[in-house]
Amino acid sequence: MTTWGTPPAAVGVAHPKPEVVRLERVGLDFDGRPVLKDLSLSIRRDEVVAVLGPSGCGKTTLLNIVAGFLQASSGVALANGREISGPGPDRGVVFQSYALFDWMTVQDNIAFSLSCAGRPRSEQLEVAQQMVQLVGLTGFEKAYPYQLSGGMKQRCGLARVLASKPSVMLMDEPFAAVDVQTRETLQEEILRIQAATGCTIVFITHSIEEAVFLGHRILLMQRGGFGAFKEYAVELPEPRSNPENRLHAEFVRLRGEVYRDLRASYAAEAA
Amino acid sequence: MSPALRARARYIALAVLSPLCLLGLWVLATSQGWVKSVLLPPPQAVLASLTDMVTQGYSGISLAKHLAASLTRVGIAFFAGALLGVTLGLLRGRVPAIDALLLVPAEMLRPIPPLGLIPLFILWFGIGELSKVLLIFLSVFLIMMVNAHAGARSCPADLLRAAQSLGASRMQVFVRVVFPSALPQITTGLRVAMGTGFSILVASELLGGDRGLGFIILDASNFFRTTYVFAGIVVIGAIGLASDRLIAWAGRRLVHWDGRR
Repeated sequence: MTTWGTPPAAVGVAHPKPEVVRLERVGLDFDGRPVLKDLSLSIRRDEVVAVLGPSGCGKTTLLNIVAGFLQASSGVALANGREISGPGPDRGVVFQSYALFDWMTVQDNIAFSLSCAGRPRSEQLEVAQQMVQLVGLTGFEKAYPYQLSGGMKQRCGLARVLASKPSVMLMDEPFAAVDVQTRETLQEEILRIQAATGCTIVFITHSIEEAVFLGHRILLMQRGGFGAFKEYAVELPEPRSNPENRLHAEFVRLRGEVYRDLRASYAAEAA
Repeated sequence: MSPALRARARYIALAVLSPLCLLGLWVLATSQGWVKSVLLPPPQAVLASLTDMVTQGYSGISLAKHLAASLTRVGIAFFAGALLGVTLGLLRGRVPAIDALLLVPAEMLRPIPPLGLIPLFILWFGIGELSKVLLIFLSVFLIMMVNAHAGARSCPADLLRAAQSLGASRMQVFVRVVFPSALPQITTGLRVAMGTGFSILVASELLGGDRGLGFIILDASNFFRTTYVFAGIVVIGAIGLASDRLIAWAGRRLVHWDGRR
């Protein structure tokens, strides 16, 4: 399967995998009001970090800073050791709104990053075909986005980002608009693709189940907390894409723990 | 017959019926003597003049030559006006500095009726082809700029962000995302501009000359040849209808995603 990013560290050596994203005391003000304060975070290669919290907790702001859509007001934001100065194909974004180009076929949507980079058409088609197979859209290469269901649109959005081989994929509530069955299938697909490609993922969600099922780590933020988070490590058996994990005792336990903490934060907010 | 097909058939029936009813009303009004025939000639008389125009031409020039003169004027003005209007309109939608530069001149020029500009255009550009084409061009240009501007502004922020984060340069974002997402509004603009173009054509042919559909209408009305005025109006109307249907059809094919998201 395809792998990308920095070359893998020597096997069996204790030192950790390279840092893909690093935030140091990042702050962001919006119209003079602070949204994030002193947020520090390190994300390493191969990790899936689920950022969980209610609307207004700053999770999307965090993602937008890493994506380069927003500039931090203070602190340092690094991607692969370089300061983030704007959006770029090393940090692919999957949107809740899909954000597909309606005037392009599935194939051309997927090949967009390659064609922007001036790669030859044959290479574009070859990579698009690989990605179509990877996300399970075979037979829909020539379809237009409006001819696809919500779940298939997001598969296309995912393939479009994967085609540019980003060092990190930033997913902003990507499955919020699809039905429950499709969402669960897509969650399993994400983990299968993640295991196959070794890509790093930051996954924004407000679903506890989604965070526990997908994340290696969960960051729980609260409304008005300026991005301060509580962190949980998720210890579920491999392969993580196994749907049986949803019934695992550790899944149930951790879901309960996160749920209680979230309820406690609501109670604190109401007081 | 499927419900969709039945709805389509009803649509076509109504679209054909409405002009036939108007024609019937016209026949009735003239045959019953409700209006004087010099004000509203009967359709048969208009048809006779139209036949005469088609076979004999008008004022010694064949109808084909009148048509060619008018269509060339509208065609050149429409193409150039649309090209410049769309380019500047899209740029205004994305680059605040360009928007600021063009805002006051464009919005001051837009409400001025083209007829009011005719004396100036005669002074500046004479009474030849240039004046006529420029007058139509100006109207088309201003309409297209407004529509392209609005189209560019309506491009969803997520699409721009998606393109940028996939590595598109400013130019690539503009050509491959902003322009296509403005296409639905641009095609609507083209239809409005085409209609306006033909109406300005009649005014522009006030600027001297001896041929053109507008010339026929103006010349015939100067000599109270009302049936020829109507024949000229019918020809312009028919061309206007045909060009509108053509643009609408081409637009639906080009902008196949519109309304299906």
